[in-house]
Amino acid sequence: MSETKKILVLGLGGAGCNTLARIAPRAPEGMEFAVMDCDFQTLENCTAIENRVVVGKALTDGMSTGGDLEVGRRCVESSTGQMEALLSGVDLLIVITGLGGGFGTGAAPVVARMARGFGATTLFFTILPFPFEGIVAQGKAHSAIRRMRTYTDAIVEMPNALIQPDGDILLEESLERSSRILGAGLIGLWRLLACPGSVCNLDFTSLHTMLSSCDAFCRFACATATGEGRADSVIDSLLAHPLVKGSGIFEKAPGMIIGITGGEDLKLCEVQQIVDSLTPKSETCWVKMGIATDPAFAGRISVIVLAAEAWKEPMVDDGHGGLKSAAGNGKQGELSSLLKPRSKSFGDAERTIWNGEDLDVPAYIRRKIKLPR
Amino acid sequence: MAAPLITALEIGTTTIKVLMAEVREDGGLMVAGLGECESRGVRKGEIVDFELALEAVRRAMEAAETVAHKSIGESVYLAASGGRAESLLHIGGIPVLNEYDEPGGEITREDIDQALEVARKIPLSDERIRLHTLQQNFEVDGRGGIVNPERMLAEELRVGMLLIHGQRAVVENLKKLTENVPVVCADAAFGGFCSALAVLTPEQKRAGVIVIDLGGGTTDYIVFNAGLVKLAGSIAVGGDHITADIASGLNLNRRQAEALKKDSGSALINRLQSDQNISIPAEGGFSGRVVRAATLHTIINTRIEEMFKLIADKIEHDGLSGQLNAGVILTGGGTAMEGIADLAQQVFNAPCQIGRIYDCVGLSTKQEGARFAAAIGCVRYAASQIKPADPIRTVWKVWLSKLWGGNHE
Repeated sequence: MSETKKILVLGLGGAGCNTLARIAPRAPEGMEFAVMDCDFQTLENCTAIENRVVVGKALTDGMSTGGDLEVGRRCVESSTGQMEALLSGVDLLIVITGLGGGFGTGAAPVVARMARGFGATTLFFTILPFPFEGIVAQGKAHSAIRRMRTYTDAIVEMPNALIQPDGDILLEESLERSSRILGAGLIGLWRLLACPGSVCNLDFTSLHTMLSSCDAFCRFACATATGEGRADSVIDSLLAHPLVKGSGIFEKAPGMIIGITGGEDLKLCEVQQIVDSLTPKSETCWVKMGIATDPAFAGRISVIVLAAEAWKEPMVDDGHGGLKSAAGNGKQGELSSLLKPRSKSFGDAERTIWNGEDLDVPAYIRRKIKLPR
Repeated sequence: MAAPLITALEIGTTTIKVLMAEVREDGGLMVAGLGECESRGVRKGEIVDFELALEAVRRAMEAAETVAHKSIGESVYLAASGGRAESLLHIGGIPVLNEYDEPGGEITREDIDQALEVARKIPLSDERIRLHTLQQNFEVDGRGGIVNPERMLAEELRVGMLLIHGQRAVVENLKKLTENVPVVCADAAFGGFCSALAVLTPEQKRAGVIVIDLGGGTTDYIVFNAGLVKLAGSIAVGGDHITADIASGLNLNRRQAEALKKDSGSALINRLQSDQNISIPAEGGFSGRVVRAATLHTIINTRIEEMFKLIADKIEHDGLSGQLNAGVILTGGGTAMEGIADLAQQVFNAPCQIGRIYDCVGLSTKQEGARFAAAIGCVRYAASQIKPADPIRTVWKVWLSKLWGGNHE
């Protein structure tokens, strides 16, 4: 009973709830979902998910945050009891959230922190706003990610502009497609971790190693192919996946997890071909693969890849000023102070801006240091 | 007749300190009264709540008067930390003329005075207020490092002035606060400069040294080389920031974070201690928790290292990094942090020590001393301002002091 690890997929805020509402009906049995928002309406629409959590009833009276991330943050902070009921016992928390709005942006860093408090490994899929949503939304999203990275194990950034297909298609179709991209990956990942039928099980510890060493940012891709030459075509579509295209991540990733699901007709040479062509040639690359077979996948191959953008031992200290590597490559001053939430920690005193950097923001956040846990 | 009692007031973010001291004829200090009070209504060295701050200053003054069994008198000297202080080097010069008003001639006393006056005229924006104008060495025909150019032959005489200026609103508000106590604020001095006066020996000033005053809300620094102040400034980041970082990183309240910082904080990430756990006791609605020492030390280390690096970058930028043979001296409340001297040593790559006040009697311990550096230095600065006891020259000197280091607007 306690041998299986508990995995929870949580949708946070409007975008997160809507995405999960599309994914959940297709999910295999046993996959656990939950959605959380402060807006009744959003949750009402998620009929496919049973576990619907309304937080901050006292703050918003069941309405939305109105784009105020401060409200989103307080909603979650004020609902410690509900969070505990939701998160305790969870081993892997996968969060889907849209950043740039009110609830998701404000709540995500708090959820990350609380989940860590409950001992869960966290993987955040963050949907970033379209460029046309404006610089303010982009700025809010960026600052939320900076705040999250301290507590999350891994963040997958998914800019809307990349995951939504181009061209002359209906809005509904476009949303459906993007949630399918994510959904297929999520389900694939879950199956590898949870399904007992795996040939070569991707165990939980491997995923934990990957997530806790990936220095907070991951790339994610998934693809499915059928028929003749399915191994070739699955590789092609992985390389052309909107979230990895042009990033060259497959050549340089320092760490990677490859999960392959196929029917009973899966061949060893196909596995070999896929792994060979995806893994970087570097000898230091940490690669872990998992293979699952499922009769339902007859004639099909489905592959998911989780690739780290950087690799770092989770402990950041080396005893003598070894934090230097973590600092220095940061993009400093990327946000105007207007976009930053005002901290009330220093009274009404003027903010300390030094060379365009806001020194009132904790140094470990600005220097992008992942705190040892 | 005893030497006059000088009172220094330091309005800090964490504590307000009042120090009454006599300056003996040989320059030694004799502390008569010491008053300290937890600061209220001050953030980053600026006043954010006037009434609270006024109350705290009054209490500190009463405490000092009680210890000294004397009254503070009419005027106090203010050590202003105030954040955001900066220094500016301005070089002014005049052509030297001979008795026929032709270029080239012997430098006279008048030439020197005139050059100094030209150099002192430094334009400053309305938001800034000058705290000190410190003379640098003379330059004769492009040859620098001349201490006294009188009677030298030259065509041009130039002299540099280092202006230390602070934010007008902040300093004026601090002055206004003292006037509401009510006492007269005789002068305001830069806190970092005061700290340096308290802990530096003339040898250290000559060899080149950085003094960093780690305050609660601000960090002041000042660089000496060849006996002169070369660079000074202040960053509005201090011990409060470390506490805030801990509070946000470990999800604690401010008081718990402050206690954790004081009890278990370390500026270095020590491998031996990194596996240790620190328990935070339960209280009120908080059920108690255990945090890892490694996490705490990482948060503190990151902040302090960044602070030092900002100063190191500034020094590097001004080309002074190779001239600091006496290393780094730390003063202020932040020196109580474990391992801070070692961290400074790493960042500045120079020997580092906690400042010790020299030539002063009446303070309890050395550690206590480093905290009072700014107040003690302020008394020393005040003594240098009012030294001339000769009544005939007083008027002239007052005028001169106004020009030199004064707080004139």
